[in-house]
Amino acid sequence: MARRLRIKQAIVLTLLIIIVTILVFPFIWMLSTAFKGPEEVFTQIPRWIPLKPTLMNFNTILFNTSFPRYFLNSVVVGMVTMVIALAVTIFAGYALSRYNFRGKTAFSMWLLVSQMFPPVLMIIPIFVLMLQLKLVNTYASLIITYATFALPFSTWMLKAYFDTVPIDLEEAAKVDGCNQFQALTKIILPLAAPGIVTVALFIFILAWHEFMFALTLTSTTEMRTLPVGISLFLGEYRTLWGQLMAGSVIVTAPVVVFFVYLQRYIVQGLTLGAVKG
Amino acid sequence: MQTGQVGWADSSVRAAGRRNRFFRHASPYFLIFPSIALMAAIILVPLVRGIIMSFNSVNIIKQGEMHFVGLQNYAQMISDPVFHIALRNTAIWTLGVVSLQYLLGLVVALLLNEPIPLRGLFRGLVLVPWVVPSVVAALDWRWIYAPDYGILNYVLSSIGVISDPLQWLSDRHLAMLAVIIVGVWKSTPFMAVVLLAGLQSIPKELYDAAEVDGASMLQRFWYITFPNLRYLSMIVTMLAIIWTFNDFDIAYVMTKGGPSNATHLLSTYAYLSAFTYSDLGYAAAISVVMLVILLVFAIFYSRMLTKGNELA
Repeated sequence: MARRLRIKQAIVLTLLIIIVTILVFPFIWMLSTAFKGPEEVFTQIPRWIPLKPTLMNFNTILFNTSFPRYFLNSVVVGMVTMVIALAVTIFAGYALSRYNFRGKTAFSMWLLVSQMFPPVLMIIPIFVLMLQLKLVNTYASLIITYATFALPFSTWMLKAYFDTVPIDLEEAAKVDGCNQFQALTKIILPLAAPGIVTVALFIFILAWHEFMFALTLTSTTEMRTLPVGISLFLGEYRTLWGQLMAGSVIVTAPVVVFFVYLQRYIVQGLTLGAVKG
Repeated sequence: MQTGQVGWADSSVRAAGRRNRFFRHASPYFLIFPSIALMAAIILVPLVRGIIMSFNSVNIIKQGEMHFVGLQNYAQMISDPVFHIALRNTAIWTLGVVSLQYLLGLVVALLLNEPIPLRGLFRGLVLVPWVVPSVVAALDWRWIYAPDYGILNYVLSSIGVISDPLQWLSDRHLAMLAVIIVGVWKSTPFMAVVLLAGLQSIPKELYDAAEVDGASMLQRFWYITFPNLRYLSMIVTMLAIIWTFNDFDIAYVMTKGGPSNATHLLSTYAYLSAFTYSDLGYAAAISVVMLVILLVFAIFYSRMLTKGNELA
């Protein structure tokens, strides 16, 4: 019996190692290429680990391209989007969690249904709207759009987190003389803090990753965000893959750091939202 | 209300009571008002305008000035061969990505649910493709697929599968497969994590009882795991189908719909129609067709979902 278990475990491990290797490989290859000089990038016999690792690619994109500007734009857009979307969704999530009101079902349904609208259908009228408001090629156009598209899932997630805070605590606070607003800020928010941080990071990542709206709503180097900026590194005939991969590493790194922190919440959050359904 | 003046107390308490009652009824609306305002401005109104645009010819240079053309944009689709190709490609892309993603995600979830050493590490590593922004994923894979110096051709030729380098992204017969592989790679982790959460919510006693009754591993999967995952699977595949159907980034960054439209999806075709060929009305019509397809699918699917749930 013990032996059978051990054989089974060995099979499971082997399969897992094969699959995980395939899943992680493209990322490793990106890292590896980022640290290679051109003579090692363009070679017939590629190597896993660069023979002569170099920071040259990072050096070039950080000091000789518009990459730092793209980075700054992405950070500004991501942060402001996060603050606005969070402020708006904390209230909405709280309302969904604590109140029964006319139109609640309709509101929840709308949140769900809005997930289905093809972004490409939305972008055409949004582009025209921004054109009319003279907001094309500004941070504002991206921030407003991202904050809105972040609303449905953030509201749902926050509602799920607020649901886990017992209503008794709030009522006790009210007996002690807190009003509704104080009950929210002093009781609910601190208790739901891990959930709020998770949602905040999800919103930031949504803005950090977004490509299509950024491609359409910005037009100059000064306003481009990272995903669009980096896609411009693709050469018409020949691409400098070392630099492109170095840029990719910088774009991906902050998200990886967030996810290391988030990992324990992700499964939990998904269970809260999805399985309970 | 803390006035501190005794004489005021009585009336201010009553006023506070009135205010409280007012707030109890009105406050949920105050709370959701900002969300509603944003969604009205950026989702609802544009949605309606998008539908209106699909019946108009829209001038992008004159700030979106429109003139009514009736069903002309829709009629144009019927005779447009590229639209037909994009429609077919979108079906292949969506079905290909979602079915492979589900199968692979299920395998990964089952493996991760076993008691093995370093489970946390494996679970973290599996998430990597999900964390990579889709533009970066597309660029990364372009480098892997590169015909001359790409690693994939090198690996395949060194183990003797191919003799000449394959033109992954410029060969009409390979491009769709290449793009689907990237889609599956990117989306499998999410599916695996959700299914893993589902697996972990199945009561362990069910398996113990089945083992006592002498059920084999396959039987346990078929009679316990699979039925218990069914509802969750249907929800998550529905989401995956919607997301994949709407996806734009991967196909656009990898091929822009090429070579000779072999990877053009409805999303990339609508986008290029709008912003490269400046035909906003036609682009709007294509994306309205996308919405209609999704709505019909969602209604059909959620019917099945409720029915399946009643049976279970």
